[in-house]
Amino acid sequence: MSEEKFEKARTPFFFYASVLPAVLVFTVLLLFPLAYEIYAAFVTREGTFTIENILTVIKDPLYTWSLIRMIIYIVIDISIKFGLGLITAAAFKQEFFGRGVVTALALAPWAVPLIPALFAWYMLYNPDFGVINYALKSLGLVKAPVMFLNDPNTALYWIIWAHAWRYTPMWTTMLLSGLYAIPEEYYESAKIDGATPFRTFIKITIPMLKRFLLMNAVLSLIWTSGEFASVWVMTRGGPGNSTQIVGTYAYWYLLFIGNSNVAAAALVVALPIIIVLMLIFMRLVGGRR
Amino acid sequence: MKMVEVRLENITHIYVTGRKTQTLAVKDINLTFPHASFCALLGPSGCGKTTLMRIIAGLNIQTSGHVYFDQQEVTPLTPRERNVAMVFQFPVLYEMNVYENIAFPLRSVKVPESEVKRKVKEVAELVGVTHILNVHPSTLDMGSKQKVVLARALVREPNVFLFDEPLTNLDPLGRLEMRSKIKELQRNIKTTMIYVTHDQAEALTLADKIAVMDFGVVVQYDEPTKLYEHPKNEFVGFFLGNPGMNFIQGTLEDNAINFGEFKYDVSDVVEKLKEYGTEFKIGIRAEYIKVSKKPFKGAFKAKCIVSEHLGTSTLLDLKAGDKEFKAKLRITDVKEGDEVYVQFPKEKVHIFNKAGELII
Amino acid sequence: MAQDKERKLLKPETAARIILYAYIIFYMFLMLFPIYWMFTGAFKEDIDIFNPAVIIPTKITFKYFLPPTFDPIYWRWIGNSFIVSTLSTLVVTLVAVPAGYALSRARGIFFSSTSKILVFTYTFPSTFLLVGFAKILAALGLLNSYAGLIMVYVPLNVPYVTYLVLSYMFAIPTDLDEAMLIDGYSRLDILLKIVIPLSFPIIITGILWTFMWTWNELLYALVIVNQKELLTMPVGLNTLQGGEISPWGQVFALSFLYTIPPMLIFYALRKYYVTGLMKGAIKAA
Repeated sequence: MSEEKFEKARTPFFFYASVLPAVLVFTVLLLFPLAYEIYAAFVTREGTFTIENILTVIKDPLYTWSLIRMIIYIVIDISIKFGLGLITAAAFKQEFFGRGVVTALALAPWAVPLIPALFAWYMLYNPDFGVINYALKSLGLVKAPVMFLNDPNTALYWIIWAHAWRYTPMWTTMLLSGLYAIPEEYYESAKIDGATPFRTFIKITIPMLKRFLLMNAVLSLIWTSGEFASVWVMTRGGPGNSTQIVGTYAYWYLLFIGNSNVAAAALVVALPIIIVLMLIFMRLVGGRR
Repeated sequence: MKMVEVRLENITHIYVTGRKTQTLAVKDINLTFPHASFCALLGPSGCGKTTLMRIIAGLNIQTSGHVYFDQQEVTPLTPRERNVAMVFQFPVLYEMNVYENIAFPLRSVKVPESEVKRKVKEVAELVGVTHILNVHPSTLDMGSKQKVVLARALVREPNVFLFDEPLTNLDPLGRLEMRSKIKELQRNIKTTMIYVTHDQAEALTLADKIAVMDFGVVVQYDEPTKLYEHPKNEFVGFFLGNPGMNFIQGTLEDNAINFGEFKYDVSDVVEKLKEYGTEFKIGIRAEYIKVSKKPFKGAFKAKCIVSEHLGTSTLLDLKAGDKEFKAKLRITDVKEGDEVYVQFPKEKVHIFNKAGELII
Repeated sequence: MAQDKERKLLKPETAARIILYAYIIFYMFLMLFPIYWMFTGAFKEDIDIFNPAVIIPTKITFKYFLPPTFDPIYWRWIGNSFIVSTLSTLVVTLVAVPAGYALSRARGIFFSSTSKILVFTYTFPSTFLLVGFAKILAALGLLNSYAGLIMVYVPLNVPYVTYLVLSYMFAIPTDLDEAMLIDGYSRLDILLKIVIPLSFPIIITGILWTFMWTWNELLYALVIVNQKELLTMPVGLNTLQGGEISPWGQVFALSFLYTIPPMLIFYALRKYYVTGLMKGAIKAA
């Protein structure tokens, strides 16, 4: 009993006061919008309960495709960030001339604001005056210009690339810190045991970072599922709605069609997927604390 | 098991730490570690012992000099090619079960699966981990972890076994346990073992020969008893033993070295000593000093400043004039403040010059 | 780390070296070319902008930075972004740092639950609150205002920054706190005098995070603000672009200006950021 009292004496008013603003922020300022949104999804404009909004959304092929594209988006996105990031982190861990400068400069895509970066890629992709097509033509690799963003079949993937490009540096830094977190003795022991750098990487380094990698991957999946800017800026959802994802769909319904209830429904229907991912994440986090 | 003689010839190593800074780690080291011997590299932090070990292992290539295993120069060989095994300060275990950990070095060099199974089982039995082969190392206690590390090292039948301060991170009990395990290993397996440590007690107990190092050079390389009884200089004398050898400075006058309140007769060697000047230090170990509460022939008076009971013995801080030294006795009732009578037995005294080098 | 001559003298090793350098050059080109191209675009003549062959411009112009092509409203846009980002960052930091401290020290059901809710909250993707926020702000009449935007930006960032601070402070030993408590200092003293200075890297990281997040934010700004004078840069840039004929030179020039503040801040604080990110990232594992 006395230990409890001792504990109590050590959690004074100051702590409650310190934490209160933050608590208010996420209960009030986050819970309300969420609650209201869920409410709006199940209600008509006048306020009567209905599942029409949900049905409209589910029956709309444009929506189901948006959902599918969202999943495609987050999966390809993390694959690029991960793959490229890991290779680059491994490369940056080596000693080479100019390493300090290179690692600093490599963060540039991330430091440049999002919109301009997307514009840059938009222009690079342009069939007529984009540098990529120019280079491809000059090298004789293609005859007709590649319709990156103008081709409904490929547009989404080029958007994803631009997005992944921007976030790879952050991943490189993070993965690099993970690589450094492993004590040097492990790398040395592997060397003495005769493992090639590649084998060391696969069998020792990655397994040791498993939890760390998984957590960040899941977080990326969750955060990217709400992607909006990259699609909107580069194609506005086109060509022909071939790049619409959940974020742009909801936005479009909210501002262009003016039906906030259906927009809310669009977001709410996708929520279960998000919640599942979040629960997986909580599981991974819970492993330590 | 293989056993090679490791020979270091003129090994010098300089670390480059940044644009312009260089550190001399070891200078012109010449050492031979005999077949199947257990040798220790002993010294304080920064003396270069770890560098030397890493050079033997092949993790660092020496700036100049040669490393030979038997008659073969191993400098161009990778650690794996040299077939060395290394035990680190903490158990380095990979994220796989015990069996996989032990099998790892074999698989890395494409040993056929059937061989792998046989060898792993063999070593597991030797070390005593057969019952935990399917277990993940994270669930094991420290002792078992160390065993797995040893197993993984043994499975390759290494030429040389390297230990990098393996007991440093253990608590006293764990330390004693591991020490006896290593001794057991040493007895059962005839492989050349090289052991790096800063703990002189470890080195004295485990090693056949010890290379005492300081500031990148080997100060003395000898058997433990020789190092203990006949240290080449003050550094070795003080570094070894618990407590280290006492060193008392005095001046040569007539036929004795004068320490102020007492003298030490050197009439039999005074001619030799005169060649080295007039300032000398005598070295004598705490446990050899004769101490009594009653006066006896040849003894001088000293006062007890501190008296520490260490279980089976007592450590006394004694002071005569402005000279202080320690004596170690069996159980005694000498207390702080007591006056005692002290004598340094001639056969246990060594005379050093002012710089601390052994003369007699 | 001591850089030492390691085992890199054998043939397969030198081949690996060449591959390493080749990859690094390739990667850096990939990362930097688009940025380079965009920045040079701000200074190119129109013809050159649309000519992909002009990689290094020979003719330079500043016309997109000056009137008449440069509409003075662009300055308002930059200003709006600045105000919103700075205020949001300030509020978020003031809320998150003490909260992070409290959560790293206090025990009890309330605090541990709060920590768990915190994790849940920060993972939640902001886009999915769009309709909720939009409707509430509309009801409160806070559309087209700084306050409205900040009222959205702050809650969307507090959880994550609090979490960063919490993780970092968790690793700061409580011995310090206790020693000071015994000496009679208040918790506030401890926070201000010791813990915050020690937590500089992560606080800077949090500041940079929030600033960059708000500086880049498009969706909410698009929905909440539509009055031309009150647009933030992302929205403004977005309105400039559209359809076949966009004033690309202008867009690039504006982008250039818009990139400078974060670049400067980022560069000045990069030491802290990398440390903080590394430590925070490890904590997350």
